[in-house]
Formats: sequence, C-alpha cells, structure tokens
Amino acid sequence: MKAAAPAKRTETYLLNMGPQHPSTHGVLQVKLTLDGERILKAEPVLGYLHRGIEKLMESRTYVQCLPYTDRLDYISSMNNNFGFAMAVEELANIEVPRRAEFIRVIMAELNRINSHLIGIGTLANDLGASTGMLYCFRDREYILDIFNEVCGARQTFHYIRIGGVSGDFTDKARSLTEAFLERVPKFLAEYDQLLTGNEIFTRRIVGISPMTAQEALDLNMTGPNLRATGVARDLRKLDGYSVYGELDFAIPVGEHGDNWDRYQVKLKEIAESAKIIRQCLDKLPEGDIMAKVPKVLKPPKGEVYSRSEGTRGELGFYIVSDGTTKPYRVHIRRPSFVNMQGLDLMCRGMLIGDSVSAYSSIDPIMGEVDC
Amino acid sequence: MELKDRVPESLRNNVLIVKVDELFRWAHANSIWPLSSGLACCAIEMMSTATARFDLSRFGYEVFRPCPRQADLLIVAGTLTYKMADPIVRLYEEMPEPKYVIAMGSCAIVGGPFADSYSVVEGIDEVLPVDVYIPGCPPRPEALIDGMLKLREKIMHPERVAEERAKWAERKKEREAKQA
Amino acid sequence: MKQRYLTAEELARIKGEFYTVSIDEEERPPIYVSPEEFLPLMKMLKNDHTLSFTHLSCLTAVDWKDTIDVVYYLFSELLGAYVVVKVKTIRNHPEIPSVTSVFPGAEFEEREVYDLMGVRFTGHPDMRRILMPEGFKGHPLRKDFTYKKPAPPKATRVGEIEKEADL
Repeated sequence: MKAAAPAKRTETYLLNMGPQHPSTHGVLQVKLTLDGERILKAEPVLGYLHRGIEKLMESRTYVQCLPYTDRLDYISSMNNNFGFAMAVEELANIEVPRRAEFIRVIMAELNRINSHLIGIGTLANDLGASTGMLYCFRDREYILDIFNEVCGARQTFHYIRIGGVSGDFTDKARSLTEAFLERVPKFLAEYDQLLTGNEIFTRRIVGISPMTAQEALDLNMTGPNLRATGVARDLRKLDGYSVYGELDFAIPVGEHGDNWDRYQVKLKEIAESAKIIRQCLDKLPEGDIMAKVPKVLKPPKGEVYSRSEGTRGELGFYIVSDGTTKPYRVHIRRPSFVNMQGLDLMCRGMLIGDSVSAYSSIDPIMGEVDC
Repeated sequence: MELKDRVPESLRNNVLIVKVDELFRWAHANSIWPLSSGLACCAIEMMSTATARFDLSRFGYEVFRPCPRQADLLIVAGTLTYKMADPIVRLYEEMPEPKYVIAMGSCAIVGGPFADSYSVVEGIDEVLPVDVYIPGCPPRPEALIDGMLKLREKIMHPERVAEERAKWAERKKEREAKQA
Repeated sequence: MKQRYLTAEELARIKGEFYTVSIDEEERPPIYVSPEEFLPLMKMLKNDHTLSFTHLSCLTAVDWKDTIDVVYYLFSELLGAYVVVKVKTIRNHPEIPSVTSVFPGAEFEEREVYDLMGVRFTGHPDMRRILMPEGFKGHPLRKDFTYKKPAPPKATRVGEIEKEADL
C-alpha cells in the first residue's frame, strides 16, 4: 500500500498594484488578495495625492477657494467650479443672471463630454486598444478649443465664478460649439466601429464586474456607476438645479451594472449632453453674465450643503460660514471617493486582468479621491 | 594618415566621422523614453502631448514606458506629497543611467498653490536632481515639447548636466546641515 | 438652488419618539441627538416607510473648538427633502457609534473623518487612517493642528548621484 499523498492545499497571496502602474489612473494603490488567478479581495490604498484642499480653503477667501476646485477633479473642472459657485451663491443669496446660467450649463455639459471621452479612451487603452485613446483625445481637443476661446485655459479654467461667469460666450465660441456638435454623431459612430463592435474589446468587458442596483445603492454610489445598474437617478433631473429643469433630456441606464453597461452609459450620456448643449444654444438669452457681487464677500453665518451632478456622480459642497470673509469649514463630498468603495465588490471573483477594466470603468480621478 | 583619408575616394561625401560617445549622445538625445508616470493634473496634459494634435513622436519621444527599468526620463507631472515621495525616489533609483528629470508644472517646481499644505513637498528638487523646469499650471503641451527640446540640448552637452548636479548636491548638503 | 428640509410636523414626530433629540429653530433645522440614541434614530430615518431617508449624501465633522460635531445629510427621494443629523462629541475623546451597520457606504467617509478630525467610530469594521500615511501624528482638520514639515525622504543612492556629478 502506498502512503496517502499529503492533502493538496493552496495559499492565498498578496499582489500589490501601484502607486506606479500604467493602468491605475494616477497614484492609486490596490492590494489584491489572490487565490491563484482569482481575486478574493481588493483593498484600495488612498492618499498618495492628498493635498489637504479642505484645510487650505479655511485660510483662503471664498473667491480664492474657487481655483482649488479646478484641481480637485482635474478633468471636469467646469463642473467643480459650478458646484462650488452654486454653494456660495446659496449661502450668500446671490441671484445669477439667466444668460450666465445657460453658459454655465453649456460649459458643464461640454466638460462632461470631455471627461467621458477620457474615461472611454483610457478604458480602451488599458485593454490594449491604444487607437481608441488616440481617437478620444483627438475629439477632446475640439472641446478644449471652445474652452480656450472663452477663458484662455485648456484644463484649469476658473471660468465659472461666484455670481456668474468670467467672460462672455462669444460668437466664435458659438460657431466652434456648433461645429463640435456636428462632430458628435460622427465620432460616436466611429467609436461604435472601433470599440463597441470589436470582439476583443467586448469580451474583456461584457459580464465582467457586475453589480446589482441594491449593492450600488447600499454603497452610496452615484453617477454613471449607479445608472449602469439600472437606477435612473440623476441630480440634473431630480433637483433640476440651474436651468436643467427647463431642458429636455433622457437619463441613460444600464441593466446588469457590468463594465459594458458602464461604458455604454458613458457613450449615451455624451449624446444626451450634446442634446442639452443644442437646446441651450437655441435658448441662450441676451443679458448680463455676472451678478453684482460685493468686492469683499461676507456670507451670513450659517451652513449649506449644495450638490450637483458632477461627471462622476453627486458632487456636494458643505460650507460652514462664521460671517467672515473666509469659510470656517469646507467639506467636499467627492463622488470618486465614495464610488471607490465599490472596487472590492467589483473585483471579487474576477481574474487579475479584469481588475484593470474594473478600475477604468469606475473611472476614478485621484485628485478627487484624495482631495 | 588621418582617419578620413582611409575612406575610399568614392564614398568620401557619404561618410561622417564622429567620436563614439558623441554619436551615442546624439542618438540618445533624439530618442528619449519617458516613464509614463503621472501624479496629478499635469499628467493629462502630458497624455495630450503624446496624442494626435501635438504628436510628440515628431521628435522621437513618444515611447512612454510603464516600467522604470526601460525609461531614461522621469517627467514629474503633478503635486508630490510626502506619502508619494518614497515611491518616486524608488522609481528614480530603478531607472538605468544616464537618466534625467523634468519638473512639469508649478507643483513639481515649488509646490504650486498647495505649497503651504501639511502634506505637500515644496518642489521635487528637494528630493531629486532636476534638469529642466517647465512652469505653468498646468503647462500647455507646447511648453512640454519645448522643455523636452531643452533637455535634448542638455543631453548633447553633458558637462552642463554635471555642473548643475554638483550644485544640486551642494544645495542638498547645505539643506541637510540646516535641518540637522 | 434652495433645498427642501423637513417640515415642523415631520420634525415634531421624530422628536416625539426620541428623548434626546433637540431641534435648533433656525432656517435649516438640524436635529441634535445624543450618541446613545444616534443609531436607533438613523435606523428609523432609513427604514420608516413614510420617511425612507435611504441616501447618505454627506458625512463630515466640524471642529467648534470646544466640541466636535459630526454632521450627516440624509436625502429622501420619497419626500424630496433632506434631514440634517448632528451629534456633539467631547473634543478630548470624541467617540460615537459607527453608522456602517445602517449605511454600509459610510465606511470610507468615516475613516476619512477619523483620519482628518480624530473622531473614533465604535463598531467600524476597519478603523484606520485612509489618506495620511500610517504613523502620522495629529489630525489636520482640527483648528489647533500645528505641524512642522518633515525632511523629505533621502535617496539611498545619493552617493552615486554625487559621484556622477564629480565626473
């Protein structure tokens, strides 16, 4: 009789990804606990880009705080400016001129397209389709041309100010925007050919990292990540802030909450944003672009929590004022930060290679996660 | 007999005679392989520089390598925090010689708008020897291209690099003495 | 845009069920509650089918120099309204029950409040620093936080860089 073979057993091991890794979108570190090729647990380690913006804002005046929001989520700066300006306006009771509101919505939606293009481009790049990224960045440049025309910057705009916007929406900007809107259906069709119908690409994302609506709601997830699970919650519709209440647009939703749905929701949101911009261009009234804001802004004592639909979800600014020129406390509810909690759930049971597409489809921006 | 006289008459117009290390420097200066390491906002502009409109590959610099072992240029694009300082030093040390550092954007130069924060290193030259500084917040892609062309000149003249690094090492010693 | 907060009747009903709830009669009425009754109140706000505050919008803390207030903004899609819950904690030893058993998505935000403000959440599954490095001393968002910047890390092969410079 042969001696009984020792019982086979496996051990889990730890794989460290980042902070320097080509597909972690900046300085994200993820500790993966693996059983063979399967991921048992994914633990994000944050803070490599923590710059203490909340603390810095306490020693700046309200007007000086605004540029910091540019650098928060640095590829959707307009939306961040918008959110912070709305919060201060609510605190100080400033009425924004109607023309400025429309210009703000145009800019925020252009920035949403810009951000989703980067999201799709980097997803394609991480899965090995560098061409997808080149195409997305090519189309993004046309949006940056518009921003360049209205405020002279390509990335950190500081264009939406407290009480309005800093420069008018010129005729040249209008013609650039119209030319861009004509491009939108063309490049969307191109992406459909390049990526959506590409078998290698679809096999890497269809059915990978699924998430149910209940799981996403439990984790407080918002934005495209939540909508991909089938929950049609969009603050632009729900709150109808600014002039969104007057505009007609749909909320694209997914079904299974997998990477494919997250990718599809982003593509469809680009089309919806283009629709919103079209309506705003048609409705854009004449008038002032800046309300009368006192040179020294001293909001009354009190606190405010104002939220808006950023490109990645619910972007909220909680500001406590003590009646001086500087905020007493600022807290930023960053959608990427809260959405990062879903990473563990999305990676669990998947292969190592799929973790890459999970990071990309959550689409975190580390400046926003770490603040 | 000089070297060029040994070249056959018929080929004389087609042959250039240079020193080996000059040839090597010329080749190196025209094919820098940057490390694709982005820290913050500037990284997006770095990516734009490499893509269609600005097309960094016109200069031969588009081969972004994800692994430090294959790269010879570290573009520090973004804010450096104390938590990230250790990994960036390690990345620099893993790169093979000769290697160069570009500080892109005001955060990498002096800390930028975050200089008085509790967690931000005031400029990466506290940590690494920097060869080219590119101001801007963030610098436009044209500025990055200009910076890389400045670096090309520096690679062609290694004595300038050596001189500046000696100064950097001196400054570092002084700073450490002050801290101690 | 002006948000809607809970009306007086709705607040009175909540006040009837909990002893320690006190309401500040201001423009935006926050509900102050003691740490003991905090968790039952949150459970009730979430599970009561006439209120159903299922979305935790914002979780943060404010340092008022004598106390630290932990602030919760809950949103109910049913009512289209917010409720603001605040818990006062002692500054020297701030500790309140974790809300992760009711809202699992509060995990990271509670860790952030612990990291930057120093409020301990009892019953939290993983109470560690999240943004600052391990071993960091102090809590930066407190008003009395003072800090001297440390020396930046030294490259272990600094000698080689200097040797190269001697060439």
